[in-house]
Amino acid sequence: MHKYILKRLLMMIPVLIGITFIIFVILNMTPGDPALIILGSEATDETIAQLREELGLDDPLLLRYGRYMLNLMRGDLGRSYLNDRAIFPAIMERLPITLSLAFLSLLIAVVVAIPLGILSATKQYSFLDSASMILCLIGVSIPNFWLALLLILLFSVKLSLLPSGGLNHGLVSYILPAITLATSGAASMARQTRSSMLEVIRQDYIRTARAKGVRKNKVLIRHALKNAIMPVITLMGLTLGRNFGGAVVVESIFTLPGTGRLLLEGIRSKDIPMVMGCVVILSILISIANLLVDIVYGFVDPRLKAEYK
Amino acid sequence: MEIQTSEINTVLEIQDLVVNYETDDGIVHAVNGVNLKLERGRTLALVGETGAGKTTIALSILRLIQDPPGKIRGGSIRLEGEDLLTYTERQMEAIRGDKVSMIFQDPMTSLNPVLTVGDQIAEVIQIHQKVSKAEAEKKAREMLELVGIDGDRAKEYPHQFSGGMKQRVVIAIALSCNPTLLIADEPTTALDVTIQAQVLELMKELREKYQTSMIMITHDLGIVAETCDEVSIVYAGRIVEHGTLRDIFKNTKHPYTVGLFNSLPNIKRRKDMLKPIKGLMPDPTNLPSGCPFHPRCDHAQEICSKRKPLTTYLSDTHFVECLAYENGTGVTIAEREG
Repeated sequence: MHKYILKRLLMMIPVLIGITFIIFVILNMTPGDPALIILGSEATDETIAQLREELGLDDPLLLRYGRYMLNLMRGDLGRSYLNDRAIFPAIMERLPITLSLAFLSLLIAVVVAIPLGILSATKQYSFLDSASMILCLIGVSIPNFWLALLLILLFSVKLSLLPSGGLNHGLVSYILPAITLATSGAASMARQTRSSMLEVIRQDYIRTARAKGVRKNKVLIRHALKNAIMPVITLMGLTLGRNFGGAVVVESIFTLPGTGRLLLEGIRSKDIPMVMGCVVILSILISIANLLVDIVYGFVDPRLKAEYK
Repeated sequence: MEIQTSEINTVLEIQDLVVNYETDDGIVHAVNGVNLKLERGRTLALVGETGAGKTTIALSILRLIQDPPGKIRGGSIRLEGEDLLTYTERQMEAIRGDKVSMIFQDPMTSLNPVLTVGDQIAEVIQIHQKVSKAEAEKKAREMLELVGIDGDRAKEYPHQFSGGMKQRVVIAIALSCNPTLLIADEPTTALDVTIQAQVLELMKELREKYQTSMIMITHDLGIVAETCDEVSIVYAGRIVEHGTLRDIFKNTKHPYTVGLFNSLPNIKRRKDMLKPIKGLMPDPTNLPSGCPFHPRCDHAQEICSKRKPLTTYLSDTHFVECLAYENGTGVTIAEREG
């Protein structure tokens, strides 16, 4: 198992190289001179040229990429073009907000989706099943920026129950953003739970369990869910990864000062080191989320554990 | 007084059992008025082709037919005098795995892949006997050893066992609560021949040890001859011939039973072609009129397609449902060859 985890961590390296390279190239192809952005429109050609020299912007692309990666290995993500602050601490300062948002919304999704999926599966074709599946369809289709606005309209403007943005109310501030971010993940998780439960409850070993005299509900949880949960776990990993990305939109709408907003501000002001830094950190988080899924697999399914060598 | 003793000795009595699978595409008449009776310590074989309704009969006893679409539409199933069809789900749960347990056909799929075999055996013990978890686990190890598996393997998972070993585990689960009635649904079909013999031997041994009554579902007449006392031949959801092992093997009456014997390869006459029964099992959504076997029967007369045969007793132990054995029907059958 340890060996497997180590192997997976090492596999993150080529993934990161790929991602950073692509982002680096794209950012360099976008128009606009960073030196001009830093110095403002009144700068003379001379000062611009001098700054370009200082930042190494005149060097070839590959050389600049190599330099960036070398610094990255030392944990140095560079300095912001905008305010000359070091990138790494700037991201770390904002990261807890994004992490809380992502995990909270995953938690909401799991708590809602799994019971709903099980219920739908056990009462297949009932009213409850149809109603919850229609709800799920709406859930996956609804764009989250729009859902966010509707939630703000209802809970903040009409009912004045929850804050419409900011972080002034502690955990309560996270409720609406987390629900917004959780919706589509919860919907697909519920559908996945339902369909994989439906498949499992028709298996022979479920009949064996019933023939042993195990209570119906216990059969569902102990015998069926443990088998049916595997694809749902995969989905949890993907959802967590998507939450890190989705945070960009949600944090902007709810004015949460998280990494997502940092990334968006970086893109707007063409702060290349900031954008790169955010992308690198988010990719590492997504890779870790996927690794977590694989480790959890090993605990849930003994057949896979044997293969983790 | 005499009635009482006979009741105690009768472990299972099924009367006029009717089971349908009711789907949108029509009603599948899986079991159409089955009667059977099993005495303590005896083994009954249910023999018939795939789709004859054998497994449905077995699952009805445990009330484990998938509903929907399966519905028990009539009759009674008495276990030691108590009609199981009147039981609540809770009462049935207390019976399953305790008084009546079942061995399923495919050991590859009948064990839960994510639970250890020890847990799966201990579970049934814990449900039905008032023991602690530790005691149940200890008993589970003993059961494993009883079926010839090292007790230390209790903590392993089903994928670490071979097919024959898995079937032994399934047998251990079925026997852990010392059932009154054991139903074995083609327990050896999925196993290769050498393992088949071992598993059958094991079942015979344990059955004798615990005085368990058994229903053996199979389409293998060889297994029937080895393990059973009585035989019921099932065709299209009815028992068309029933008798002791001797009645069926030495005094075969029903043309379908004759056909089953003729389909077996004969080791003494190797050059002979096999004589399969012509045609296929009838479509259970649309059973033929009269005798359900008449479209495939060599001796069928016009009357066979018009009138359902009655149960004709040839002796106290042997009955057959065929118009040829009823008086005045004009249907005749030549004796079985060989």
